[in-house]
Amino acid sequence: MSFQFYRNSIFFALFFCSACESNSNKRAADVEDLDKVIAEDKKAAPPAPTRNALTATEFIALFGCKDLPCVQLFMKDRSSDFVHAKKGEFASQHRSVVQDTTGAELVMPLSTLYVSVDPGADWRMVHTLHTKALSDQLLKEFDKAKFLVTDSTRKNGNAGPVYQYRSVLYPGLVLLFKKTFSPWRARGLYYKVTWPCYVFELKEGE
Amino acid sequence: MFRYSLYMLVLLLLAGGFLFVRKMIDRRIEKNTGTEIVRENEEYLGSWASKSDSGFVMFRLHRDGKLTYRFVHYPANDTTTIQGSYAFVDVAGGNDPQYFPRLYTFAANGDTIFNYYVRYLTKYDMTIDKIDKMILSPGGVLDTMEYTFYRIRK
Repeated sequence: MSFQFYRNSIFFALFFCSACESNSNKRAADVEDLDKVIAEDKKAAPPAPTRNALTATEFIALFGCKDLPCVQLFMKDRSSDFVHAKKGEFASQHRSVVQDTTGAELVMPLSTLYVSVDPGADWRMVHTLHTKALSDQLLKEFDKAKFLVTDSTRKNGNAGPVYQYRSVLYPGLVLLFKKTFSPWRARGLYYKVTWPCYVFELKEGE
Repeated sequence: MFRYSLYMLVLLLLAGGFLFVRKMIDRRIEKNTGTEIVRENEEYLGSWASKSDSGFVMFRLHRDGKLTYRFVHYPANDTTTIQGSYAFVDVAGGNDPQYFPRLYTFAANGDTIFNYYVRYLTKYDMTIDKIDKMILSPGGVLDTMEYTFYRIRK
């Protein structure tokens, strides 16, 4: 045993207790306890947003509202997932990366919900999704509610045709689906849209 | 007046001396035990780990700027270890509050392992939380996606 070893040992023994009293190190967890720590931590945390968009059934139920207070009440129950941004304009709480047409990555909510609040306007309700995956998911849900394509039209400004869906389960309800860069004609939360928006619009049909 | 100045000087010397000795001891113990002793404003140092259904990640931010990054990708049990370096850029690193503070980690060959926004870091003198946490976001402050890491004993 060298002299250095004893010197180090004495130094270590003398000061170990006092110097290791770092507050942060005292709060360190053992790796074996990590599962327990994570579970406890999750229990204490406020509920995090769990989804990015409304489901088809929710969207159809929401369309039953005929004024803004009703929509606000409906969305209040889902306030851990959605935030009321402006009058008649909601966005999902969770934000993530959306790629625009130039390949730039934008961090933003993955969906918005707009309802028209103008007294003169037709009652319109639009759910805009910002990624194809979410759009496919919602289309699948509408498909389960027996919504079938009945017509398609083309309009300037859209990146594709506007599809019209109807369902025997919901007579008098028309779903318009389109991929576009102008989801809510010069209004809404985003004025300059450079990413493809997947727009689901519910309307009353004849 | 002179007397009070002297007292002040003695007080300063005592405080300075204490900090100096403490630092010296800290470094020595770090050398002997192979851990980081964390003090004020260096709360990011040390070993951090996180576990989920898809895997286990552990990284150690050494005081000298070195990084040890380990991960297991379930269902396999093999641990992959990457040695490298890291950079912790504080608020002073830039004026744009959207993107700082950040933690950059690099593998030895220069590849970036991650470049995340530090959303939360438990303060040194925190008494409420039992466990130290580091919450990292892949985007800036606007991104609500976050990964939580916990300080672990090494």
